[in-house]
Amino acid sequence: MGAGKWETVEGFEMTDDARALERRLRKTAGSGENGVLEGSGRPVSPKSFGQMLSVRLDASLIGALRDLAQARGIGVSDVVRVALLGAVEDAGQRHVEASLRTYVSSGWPMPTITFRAGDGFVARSGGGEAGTGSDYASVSFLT
Amino acid sequence: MFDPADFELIDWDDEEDVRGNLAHCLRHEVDERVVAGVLGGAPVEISLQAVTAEFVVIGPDGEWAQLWTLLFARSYKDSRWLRPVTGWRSKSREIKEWERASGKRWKGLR
Repeated sequence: MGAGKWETVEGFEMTDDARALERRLRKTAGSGENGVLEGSGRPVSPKSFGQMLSVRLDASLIGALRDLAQARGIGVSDVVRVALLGAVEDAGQRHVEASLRTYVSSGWPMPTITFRAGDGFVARSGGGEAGTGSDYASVSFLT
Repeated sequence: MFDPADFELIDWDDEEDVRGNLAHCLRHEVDERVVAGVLGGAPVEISLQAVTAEFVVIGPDGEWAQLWTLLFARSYKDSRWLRPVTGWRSKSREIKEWERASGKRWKGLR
């Protein structure tokens, strides 16, 4: 099932077919003991991935987020990331990280949380200015 | 063959989409942290009989408390995104295969 299979199919049909395939795969995988092929295992390089989170929002909220992002010269995704960081921080989580991709070039003050160096980027804590050396800022806080 | 370098992001559907991959995986106790732990720790790709998933990966969660077997597919939205399809707590033969391939001894839950 390569990606190319879907390139000639359009819109809803592509999505419906792909999701139907996934449902069939789940059904097969869940239908009892699926014997592992002995000797098939091979280590793969570990990697840390960003994860896409899909959330349904009312148009009015999206509009407000867009206005806010435009006023600050940053992306809507960064507005959402900063808001979520604040929510998690308020809830007392110990350690969370986020990559803010548009703050660096915006000139807008970084949010008031503890920053950590990462990927050649140096940031300052307490709402300091963003540094240079990367196209995004790695942000984390410790409580 | 699964090469993590081919992928940039994990593709999850809306949690409120009851037929989506996130809602399904959550019903099997597979959440974003499990996926991050498996792919970021000591992943081993295996093949399963009668299961035609693009990629089947076994690995420990972030706390090394539980081994998970996760099925992935290349996302139909973007070929550089990786979609979790389903997953379960690794079964005994899967654990043995992970031990054989990784050269590690599993000391967590079985």
